[in-house]
Amino acid sequence: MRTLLLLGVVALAGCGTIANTEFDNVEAGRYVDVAVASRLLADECSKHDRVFESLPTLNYLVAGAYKYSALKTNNSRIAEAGKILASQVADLNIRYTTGQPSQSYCSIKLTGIADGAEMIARSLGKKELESPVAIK
Amino acid sequence: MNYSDILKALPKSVSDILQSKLDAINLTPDLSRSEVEELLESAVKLTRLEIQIEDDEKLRLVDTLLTFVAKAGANALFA
Repeated sequence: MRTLLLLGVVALAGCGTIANTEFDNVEAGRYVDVAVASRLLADECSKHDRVFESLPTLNYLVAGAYKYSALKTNNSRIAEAGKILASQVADLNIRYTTGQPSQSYCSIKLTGIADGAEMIARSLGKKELESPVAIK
Repeated sequence: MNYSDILKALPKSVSDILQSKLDAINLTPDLSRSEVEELLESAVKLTRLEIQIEDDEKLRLVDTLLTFVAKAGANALFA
C-alpha cells in the first residue's frame, strides 16, 4: 500500500521535482577538492618533502570547506563533519612539523581524509531519490 | 570492557564502518605506537563523521518527501 502511495506521489509530482533543494554545488565542490588533493597526495607518501610542501595547500582547502559549511544556516551536521576533517589535516600537520612520520601513517591518514571528504561531497550531491520504493 | 567486547557491542552498521578503517591499521606493521594511537582515534572520528552524514541524508530525504505529501495527496484525492 505504502509502495503504491509513493509511486503515486512520484507519478503526480514528477521525478524532477524530488530533487534535493538544499543542494549547494559550491559546498560539494569544495569537499571534492579536498578529496582529490588528499587522494593524489596519498600516492606521494614515499616522498616526505613532497607531502610536507603540499600540506599548506591541503590545509587551505579543508579550512575553506569547513568555514563555508560552518557559515551556512541549518547546516550543523555537515559543519561538524567538516570540522572532523579539518582536525585530521591538523593532526597530519603536527606529525610533519615535529618529525618524520612513516609512509604507512601518511597513506592511512590521507586516505581517511579523502574518504571522509568524498562521503560529504556524495551526501551533498545526492540530488534525487534513486529508488523511492526503497525508503522504509 | 575490552577491545573486542566494545566492537561486539556496537550496532553492526557502525562496527562494519569502523572495522574497515581498523583493518588498514591492523595490517600495517611499521607504524609506531603513537601513530597507531592517533590513527585509532582518527578511525573513530571518521566513523562518527560517516554516521552523522548518513543520518543527515535520511533526514533530508524524509524532509523532501514530506514537502510533497500535502500537494501530491490533494492531487491524488481530487484526480
